[in-house]
Amino acid sequence: MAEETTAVAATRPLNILIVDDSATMRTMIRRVIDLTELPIGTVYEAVNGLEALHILETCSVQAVFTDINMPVMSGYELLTEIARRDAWKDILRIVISTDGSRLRQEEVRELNVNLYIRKPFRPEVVRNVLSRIASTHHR
Amino acid sequence: MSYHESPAPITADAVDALFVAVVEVCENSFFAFVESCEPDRFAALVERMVPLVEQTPSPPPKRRGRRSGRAAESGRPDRPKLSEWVSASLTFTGSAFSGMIEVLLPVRLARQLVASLLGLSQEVELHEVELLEHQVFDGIGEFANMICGAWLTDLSGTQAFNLEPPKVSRMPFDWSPLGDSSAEGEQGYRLCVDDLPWRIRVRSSND
Repeated sequence: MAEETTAVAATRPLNILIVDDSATMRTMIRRVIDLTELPIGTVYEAVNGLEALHILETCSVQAVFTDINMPVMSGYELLTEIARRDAWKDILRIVISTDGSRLRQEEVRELNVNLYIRKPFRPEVVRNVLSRIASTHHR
Repeated sequence: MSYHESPAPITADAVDALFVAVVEVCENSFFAFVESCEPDRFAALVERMVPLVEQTPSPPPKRRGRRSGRAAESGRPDRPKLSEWVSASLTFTGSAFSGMIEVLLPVRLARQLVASLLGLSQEVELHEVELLEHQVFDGIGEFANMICGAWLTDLSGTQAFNLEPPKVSRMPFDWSPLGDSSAEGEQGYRLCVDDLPWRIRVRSSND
């Protein structure tokens, strides 16, 4: 029975939320996710932090890829809100931003961000991150 | 080796860094080989571009036949033609300086770059997938955004900066990159990707 439980856990799909105000970037990240051979569940999309919060409140999400600079609610505000809620403490947080300045990276690291990817990036960077996330998730 | 336009208050190092940012973005995310262009070559590439026959979309006619024929004969003016050139611009504020960056490129190059970013080059080339104008505009706004972000990251060091959302629009139909002289205080590059010409220019608002 225990082995069965482990087997189920090993194939438990990963639900992912992509937050970016650019539809092109969301599509690009989604395509990279689709090309991985990992057990991916539902991939949600949000155009800003506020929309992302609504999805997090209503759906089960294990990893968030978020931009920082967005209208309505920024990625920084979103990450602050995620860090504030105990129910979301296990969500993996990956920032994908054009702003690679050290100050910005340090700001978000204080919000328990697992990884900071600076645009421009190659698709394999996201793919490798997903592999690492999946291995952690299924452990 | 790169060629940049008229002298301006933005430092030479910053202008060099802009070219580095352009190459980084083109190669890493858009899988494009970018070259700088001497003015003569740039002009030749612009003049060599075969104009695309594009017109503003209009609703399909409700009825076909004699009425539309008469309308055509009555000398009704043609729908306005669209410019081949697109501008993607954004303003930024940073610790080093604040200002505006603008990318000017032909629609066909914009489409090619966005298709490449999305991993759809082959599908678009074979007309299996069509990128709509709003998708191309969104993607090329991101292109300008990435260049500006990469450039300012290099210039700003530890300091953060802010980017406004990019604005993308067609240039006026009669606009040409050859007849458009740089404004005072403006710096930039003439460039090409696959023999398609494009320009990038920056202006500091601290001038």
